[in-house]
Amino acid sequence: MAVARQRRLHHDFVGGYLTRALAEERVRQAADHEEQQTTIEEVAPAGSKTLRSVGIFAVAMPIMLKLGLLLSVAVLFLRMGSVTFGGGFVMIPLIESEAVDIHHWLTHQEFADATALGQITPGPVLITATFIGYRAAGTLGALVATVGIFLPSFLMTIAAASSLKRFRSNEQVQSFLRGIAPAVVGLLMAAALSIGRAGIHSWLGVSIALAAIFVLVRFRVSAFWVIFGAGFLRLAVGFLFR
Amino acid sequence: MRRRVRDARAELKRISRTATLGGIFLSFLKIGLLGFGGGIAVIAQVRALVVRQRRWLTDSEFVEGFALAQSLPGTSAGNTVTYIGLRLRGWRGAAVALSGFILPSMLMMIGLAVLYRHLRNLPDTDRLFHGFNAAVVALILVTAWRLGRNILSKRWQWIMAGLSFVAVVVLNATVLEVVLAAGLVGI
Repeated sequence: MAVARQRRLHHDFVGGYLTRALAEERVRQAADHEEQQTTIEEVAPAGSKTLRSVGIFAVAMPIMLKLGLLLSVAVLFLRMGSVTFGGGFVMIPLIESEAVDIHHWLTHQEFADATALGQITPGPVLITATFIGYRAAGTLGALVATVGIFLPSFLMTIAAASSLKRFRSNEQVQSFLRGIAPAVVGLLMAAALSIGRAGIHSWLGVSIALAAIFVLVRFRVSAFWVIFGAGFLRLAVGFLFR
Repeated sequence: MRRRVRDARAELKRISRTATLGGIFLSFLKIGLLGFGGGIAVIAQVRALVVRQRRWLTDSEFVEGFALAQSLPGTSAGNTVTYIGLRLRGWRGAAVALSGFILPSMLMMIGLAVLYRHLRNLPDTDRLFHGFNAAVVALILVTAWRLGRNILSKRWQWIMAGLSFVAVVVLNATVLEVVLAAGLVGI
């Protein structure tokens, strides 16, 4: 992509300095995302244009590349944020297929971990988006992802609340929501399946999961303690059987 | 009659004194910081703060907002917070309330993401996350079961649930497609 963009610019002040900046940016991104490294061709050496133009351009190009990445992060999470009916867990299969399979920002294992971290932090579980955004594009990506995932529901809440009576009595809206409810249950099961596939490697994991189910159902323990408890349980088992 | 009007005016004045933009921000910041325990617990905390402690909303207003929050996309906690902020101080209040609520967990998550990079490959961390993941699966299953208990009563609902599961797992449908299709079926 960097090479193509270079070819498109037919400026004669594009020179060795700029190519190296681009190459460094590209190598950094490639190292992060484990992609194949593209070859950067040397463009014709600098012409007689001012060095300042080269400098400005060299700074602008990595920013432009970063902006493209940020844009894809933003678009993805805005889309996610608009359809998470029925709670944060519903987004799990969807985000997984996008972030892991399509954009390659994380592995399946890392995604499962991100979900667990999202549970452990206070606040809604959608905050997992922050983690994914960070892995995709650094701190800025984390910010963009967070804003992206919460913005649609924010706007929709304001819109619906402002016309609350019309929203409530709208027959179509209500039946739409009634249709979604059972589907949410199915979606949650799919989410459990993907996390289970990615995160549980052994029978020990399965038994911890079963124990957790028991604790959750039988006692009114909050999710946070169950997750932490399970983590430390696994850790303890590891120490005992070393 | 005059006394009632006077009381109402005093009440409004009290609300506007406590529910300033900064006050809203800080209150929800506190909740965002201490709101462990998942959806229900957080909502309970919000209710305790807003209805009983600060008396910004009546209980019925709160319930109305919560019902609305659940029927929209996004988390019910987040939407409820947005609603409360909106009722108190318009869109600015809503923005400030949600930001305060989200900010602590966002910062925490960024910190965790940074640490994750460095610590993930240690065998101890590996085991820790193994436990975490097992618990998360359990949590999702239990949530699904509880929801299912409430929602799945008629046959078509069971079929919907089964279909959406199959659609995502086997056919790789996106959530958007499933949600839209399900909603249309509802209509």
